[in-house]
Amino acid sequence: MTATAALAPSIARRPRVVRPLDIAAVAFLALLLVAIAIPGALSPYDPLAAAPGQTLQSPSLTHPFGTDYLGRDLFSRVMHGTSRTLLASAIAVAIGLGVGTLLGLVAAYFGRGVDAVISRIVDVLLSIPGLLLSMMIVVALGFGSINAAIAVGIASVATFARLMRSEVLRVKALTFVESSRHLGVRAGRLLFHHVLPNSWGPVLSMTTLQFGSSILAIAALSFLGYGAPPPQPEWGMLVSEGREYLASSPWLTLLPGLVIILTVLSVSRLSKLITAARTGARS
Amino acid sequence: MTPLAFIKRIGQSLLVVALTYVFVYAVLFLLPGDPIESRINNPQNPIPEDQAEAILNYYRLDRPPLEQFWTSVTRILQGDLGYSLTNGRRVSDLMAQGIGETVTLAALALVFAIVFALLVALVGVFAPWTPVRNVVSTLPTLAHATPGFLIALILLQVFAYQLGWFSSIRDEGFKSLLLPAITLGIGGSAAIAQVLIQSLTRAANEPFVTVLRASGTTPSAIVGRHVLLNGSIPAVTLLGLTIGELLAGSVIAETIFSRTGLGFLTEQSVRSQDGPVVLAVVMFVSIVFTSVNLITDLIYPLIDPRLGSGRRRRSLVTAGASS
Amino acid sequence: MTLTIEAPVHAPSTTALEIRELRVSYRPVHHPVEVVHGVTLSVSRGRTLALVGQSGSGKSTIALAAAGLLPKRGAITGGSIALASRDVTTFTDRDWRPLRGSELGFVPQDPLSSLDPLQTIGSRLGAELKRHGVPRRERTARAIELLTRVGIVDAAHKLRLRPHELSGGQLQRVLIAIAISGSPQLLIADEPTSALDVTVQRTILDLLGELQDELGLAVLLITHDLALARERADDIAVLHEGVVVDHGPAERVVSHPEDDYTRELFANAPALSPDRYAHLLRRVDPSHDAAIEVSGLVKTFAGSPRPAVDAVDLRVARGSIHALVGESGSGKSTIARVVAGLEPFDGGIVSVAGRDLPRHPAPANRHARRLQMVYQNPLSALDPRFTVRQLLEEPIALSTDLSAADRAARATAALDHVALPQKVLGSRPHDLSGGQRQRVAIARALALSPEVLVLDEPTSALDVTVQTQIVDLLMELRDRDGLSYLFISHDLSLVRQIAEEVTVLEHGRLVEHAPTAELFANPRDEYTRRLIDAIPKAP
Repeated sequence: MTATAALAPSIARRPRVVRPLDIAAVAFLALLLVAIAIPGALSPYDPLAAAPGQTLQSPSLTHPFGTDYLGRDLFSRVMHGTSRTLLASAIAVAIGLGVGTLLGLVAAYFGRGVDAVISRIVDVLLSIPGLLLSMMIVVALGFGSINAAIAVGIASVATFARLMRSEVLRVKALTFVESSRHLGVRAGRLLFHHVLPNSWGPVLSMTTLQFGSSILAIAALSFLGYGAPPPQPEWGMLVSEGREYLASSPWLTLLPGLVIILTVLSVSRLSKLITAARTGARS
Repeated sequence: MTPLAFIKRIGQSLLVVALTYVFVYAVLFLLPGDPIESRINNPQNPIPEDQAEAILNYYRLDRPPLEQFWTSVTRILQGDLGYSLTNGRRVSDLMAQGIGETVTLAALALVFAIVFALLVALVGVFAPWTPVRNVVSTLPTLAHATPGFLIALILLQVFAYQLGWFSSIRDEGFKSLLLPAITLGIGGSAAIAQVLIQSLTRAANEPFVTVLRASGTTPSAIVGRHVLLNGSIPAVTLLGLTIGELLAGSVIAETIFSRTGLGFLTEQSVRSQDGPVVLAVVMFVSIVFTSVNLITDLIYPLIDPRLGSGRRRRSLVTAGASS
Repeated sequence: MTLTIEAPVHAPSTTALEIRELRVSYRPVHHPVEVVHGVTLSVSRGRTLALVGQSGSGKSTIALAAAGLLPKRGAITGGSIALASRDVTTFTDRDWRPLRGSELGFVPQDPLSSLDPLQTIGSRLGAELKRHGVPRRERTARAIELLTRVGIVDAAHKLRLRPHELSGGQLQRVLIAIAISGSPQLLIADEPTSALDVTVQRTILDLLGELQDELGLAVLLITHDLALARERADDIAVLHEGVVVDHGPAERVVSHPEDDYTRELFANAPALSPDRYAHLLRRVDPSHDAAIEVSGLVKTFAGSPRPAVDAVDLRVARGSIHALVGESGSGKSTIARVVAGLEPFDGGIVSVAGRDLPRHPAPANRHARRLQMVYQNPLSALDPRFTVRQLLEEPIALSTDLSAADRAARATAALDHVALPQKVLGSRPHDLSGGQRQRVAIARALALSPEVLVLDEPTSALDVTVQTQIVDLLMELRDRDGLSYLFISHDLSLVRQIAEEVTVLEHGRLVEHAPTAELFANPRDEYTRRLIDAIPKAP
């Protein structure tokens, strides 16, 4: 162990310095939560109220995001779309996490035949790229926010299953699990006290990352028109609506798009914070 | 890899393809709500009456589901992919029409993805100036957080509308492929870049680099030959995934850039719930993905010598041995 | 066959390396930490200086600094380094380049990862020779000459191979060939044999000695192995936490250390105090019951052509300390795991405390109260999330239904048993030192009061001082609790200290077994003799 390596534990134990970007990310997400809880708080306009005299206005003090082709205030539409998009993403992640981790755990715990069967199921799901898989499911279930959420959720089951399985297998093979088993600790206790507590960490990090991916997937589906039908606002759909006016009024596409980017970036930063807190504290 | 393991691995891929077909078929055709009949009999459907009749007969909707499934399997093995429910044309014709376009797009996009990823990773890890490295290292995260459709629209806005370098309407041959390929390339490069950044950093810290320095090897040779080659190997595993994502991404890219390949076909058929076409496209992508994965799995041991045959390990850990 | 030594460009000096008041710091995050505090050393041509110290002492740092190989976060913050009278303290990478290989050669610690796995040996050597100005058409011949000189057989064929196709010893020879290919004056060897098998270590060190004589090399040898330093070095410098605490001719430092730390260090080295536990060892009575009895044990791992264990017999008498020795691949760890019921086996009979083990161990360990295992690396053998209290209470809670108070009392007693203070109860493994962790692991193993302990290299991952403490503890426990030990080790000097009987293995086969004294005095087998020879001895 070199001298630097000897220093490593004391560094790892030091809590991660909270940088301005971390604060910005958390603040942005908090803002979005407010938008979900009380959409009207930040946007006084009715997102569905058309105002024929005020179409396609560029961003101003009265309309921070401008207005769209029907005169509706874009900022309000984005804020009201927040809950739809984020809740759909949350449902998708919940499905993926719930079903996926269970499958992965069962596969790793029972091994052999069960593992082979579940692994093939996971292979099947993985062989179809996320977007196509969710589009396929939407064909079967029909359009709409909830269906899109289910579709994206099913598409993410495989990712969680594979991660959970590999983590459980990895931890199961670690020496301390063998040591406890050798002392006579029962299988059930081994699983719940040794294996799971040491494997859920990466799964938690993955959950936040998948939340970001789900937001993108839901946005893609609603961009293509498979989400909630208009006039209900959804982020992806807002970008799509602005597409025809791209040359003349680019803010209609770019601003909702920017909100999507910032949300996903904030979620990803949050994920890094969680990982750092988890590994830092453990050292 | 032993011959037996080789065959087992191929068998596994074939099994996955077969199971995928069962899965996709089940999702599209076995869920309640008869998709075929309702689509054909939809009054807005442009298919002429007698042709609609022929298609309905073709799909044998009166037979039990299992028999329908089996019929579809036997038909596929003979190259018969069925008929579109929206315009009555043979699915195989529709596919053949779009495949060349999309495959070319995906191939070009793959090249862009690899080039972007390499540039970002090399600069992000080895640039001598820390601020440059820090900024460039965040690019993959940014690219990942930006939805593909937004990248496409931004490129369209800047290069077609503002700068006028590309036409958004006319098909200018190869030139028209560039914007969609770059769009997909940016999206596809994110994951590769992230993996490369990690693996290049790891390779740069391996003991053999210290020994190369001790020999007087120039930094450019160390990075350009030794670190780059060793550090790129893990990225090979991403090939299948990337190709799959690029093919899927063509749905959005072709829609936005008005191209008429498989992606466009997929988008249309999902919108009109045209089961047979969706089935064919999904299976196509799935087979490509599985095949690429199979090939990379089989040749990976040949590339990475450490995974090769019979490693003898001297696994001694002795006291204070590494100070 | 000798290599031609190129005439040096400047006037030759006998002092190849001169370090004065060297200070080296690392900058991990924000504030620098000094790890070398004013070290002064020198090495002359034709002489070997061994820089000895435990992990974290800074010896590798000094070697890297002297070779201009400090990582980016490291820097020389004081003092000077001179290579053959040339001051290199402030040299950049570019300044160093002409010196590399021609003035200075570097031999790294881990041969398995010190060569680009994608590059053939020939290509690597070729690049080296190119740098030293050897014309293209001569390179292959020179490469073969170099490899043959360092003892590689069939050198021409080896040029086409990649590192993973060679053994550790062969790779180290290649690395030495690379280091001397430019006929340097100084060779810096950073623990060149630590990662190698015992018998191979001797041959590599012999090679280095020969090359030193032939080329008049000055050698700076970094090592933690004190006995090795005494055997091979002309001078020894002892490093403790970045400071040289003793420095002088090898014999003097060993026999009359001028510093308490040095004195303790040498007292703890097993090779230098073979009779430390002589008063605790007993003659094994063959009529005693067997704690472990193995006959004809066979085990083959799936996919392997040869059995890992091939018809091995073993008998550990009750209450005795039986050592199982061999190099890597000998099967000793496999046998330990089979005896512990952690691995299935294919043939033979294994019985522990009178009970036969099934060929395929049941998922739940039915012999937990009879036999327990102590692992080599306590950090990986303890759940990182558990506190010491939880770690101890886990096996205790298995015994009988005890109240929480009783369990706590037993945990406290277990700590006393291994001489650990009560305050570690709230700590996690990461917070403890290596020695403390191993004590906790031992306490855990003893919580069920087993009769037999299988110890798989229990001290290999520890510093030599800590090693002694743990061995002291183990000897004490053996007497106090009436335990039997099956002690796996590759370190023969340690085995000589503590074992009553020894079984020697090679490639899965039993070579010989005998009471310790007899084995070391009169080894019957050639392999045993080589193992014993490999222990560094007094000159």
